[in-house]
Amino acid sequence: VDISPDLDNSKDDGAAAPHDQGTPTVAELSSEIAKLKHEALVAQDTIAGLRAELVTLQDNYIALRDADIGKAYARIDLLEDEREARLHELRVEVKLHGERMEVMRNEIARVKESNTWKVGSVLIKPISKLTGRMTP
Amino acid sequence: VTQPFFSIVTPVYNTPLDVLAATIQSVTSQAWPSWELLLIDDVSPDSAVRDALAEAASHDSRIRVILREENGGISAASNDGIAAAEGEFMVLLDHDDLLAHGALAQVAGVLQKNPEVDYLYTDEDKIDEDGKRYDEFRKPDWSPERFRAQMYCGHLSVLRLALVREVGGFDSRYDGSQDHDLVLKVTEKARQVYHLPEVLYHWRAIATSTASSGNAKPYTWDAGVRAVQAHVDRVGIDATVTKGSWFGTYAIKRTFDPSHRVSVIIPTRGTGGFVHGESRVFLIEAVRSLLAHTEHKNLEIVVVADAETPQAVLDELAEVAGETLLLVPYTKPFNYSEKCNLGFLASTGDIVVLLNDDVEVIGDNFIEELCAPLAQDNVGMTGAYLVYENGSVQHAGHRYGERGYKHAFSDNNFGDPGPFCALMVDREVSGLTAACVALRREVYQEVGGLSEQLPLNFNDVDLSLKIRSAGYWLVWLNRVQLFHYESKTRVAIVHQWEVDIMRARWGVAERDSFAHE
Repeated sequence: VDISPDLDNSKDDGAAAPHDQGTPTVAELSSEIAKLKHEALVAQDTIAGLRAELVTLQDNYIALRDADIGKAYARIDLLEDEREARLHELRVEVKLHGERMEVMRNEIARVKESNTWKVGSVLIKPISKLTGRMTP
Repeated sequence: VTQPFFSIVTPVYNTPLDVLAATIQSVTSQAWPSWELLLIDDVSPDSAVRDALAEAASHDSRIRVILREENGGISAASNDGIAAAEGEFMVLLDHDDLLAHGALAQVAGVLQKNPEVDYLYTDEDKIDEDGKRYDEFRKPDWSPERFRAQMYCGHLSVLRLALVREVGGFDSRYDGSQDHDLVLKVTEKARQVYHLPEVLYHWRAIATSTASSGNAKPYTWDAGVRAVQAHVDRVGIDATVTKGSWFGTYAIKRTFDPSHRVSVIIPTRGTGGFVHGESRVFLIEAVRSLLAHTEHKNLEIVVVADAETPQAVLDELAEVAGETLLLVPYTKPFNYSEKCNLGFLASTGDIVVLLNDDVEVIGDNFIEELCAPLAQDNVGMTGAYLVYENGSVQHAGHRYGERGYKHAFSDNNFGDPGPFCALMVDREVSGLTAACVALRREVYQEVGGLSEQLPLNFNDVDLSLKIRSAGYWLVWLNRVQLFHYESKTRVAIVHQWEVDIMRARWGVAERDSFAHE
């Protein structure tokens, strides 16, 4: 866009120019040209800015594609491995805990079946009645 | 042989044996295997030096010793090495310095990825007699204007041997600055110059070396003036080269064509203030000092004045500026960019200078010095050295990085050399403040002038980046000096929307190409 100054905008000779109905004066034309030149300059800036934005977006895309996304996927893989390992540990832990609970339940049942427990319960019952406490 | 193959050229003269052994060991310990070390003895008086060279060569077949029959000086000895070299690239290594561990491998990696590189340089530091490293020099990326003014590339320098031979190798007429001369000649023809920002060379500072004292070899400065003059003559820059204001620097005084019409655009609202112990209207003193410090006659001063500008100021301005004045009224809400653009559209010069009204020109030949570099087609904009009233540096080029947009070297005072003489030499920069810049008319037009989307802040940063992205250099000129009374007129408040516009356009720079933090 050629916006080099070819009119002297500082002169306002429109008052002396003939002004037919509907025909713009020289001053009006000069003013209009000045506005258009200004708009063209602003448009040049807008184009330069959009070009810059495009380059920046492309750079960001490439950087993300080549680095961040790759790193993110690698991180996801690592985290998934870590999650699986942790789940496995938890399953083992739950299983062991269940086995320990089973052993304890069996132990309690075995104790309750023992003579010592039965004799003890008989002895404690009258006292419990007196004190209002429940027997084991 | 793994490519690239390096020919390391090391002229030797009476080197202390332990120092020489360390230099050779810094080469033989490189992991990169493809090299030859050419040790050229320039008739050392101490015969033990030749014995030491022979001993080194007996341990490694990649070491070759050349014994000169008569002393010829640094260029002659180096040229013997070039003649014997069989590599693709020449690596310059002084007889008392050290290659950093892994240096050749790093350089090789760059050269493999960038096959058009004809000249490569790296960062460097110094090493004292106790082996302690100091004075790290983080260099700018390739800066041809700075390189004319200062042999900043120094070590480590790696040059394509075919090109070295094409330009005739070292020229003994420039002994003392023979490396500056050679690299000037090579870079004039180089397809690509590459800066590898790693410290890969340790420059030994001993009592008589240039590393320990710039004045150790004063004859080198005279040789440098002649080498740079020959360079500007070769490339067609109409300039006279003289010694700069600091040892080892050069002043390139270009001729400015008086037929250029220069339009100086000054946005203003006619404010005043109190500086240097007196009250003044900034605009009047800016114009007065401008006219007092230039001989250029084809001048137009375009003042873009807000409606609130006092009539008395405009009357005085008319008296001071006389026939050079073109007044452009501005009646809209403040928009610095639009004011400059309207001034540009009203102006008639083929060169445009943007000037703040709160400056005072100090240096002589202001217009001539500021505009002359624009004769080079690849220079898009030039800028000035601005100092605050208290003498601290306000502007010596912008620095763009992760910390944002900053003025570089602002912790220095006027008269300081700056790090590695950065304030004493003309040089390429990332950006320039629009408080004082010069552009060719077609460049201003090509990039759309100052962005009116940025009425207050960052418009000069954006302008700088637009001009650089269009393929031009920005050059800061150390001898174009002005006071800038910015703090007297404005307090900068940055808005998030301004930052957002800049980030959308330009992203965030990781490091500045020309001024490291």
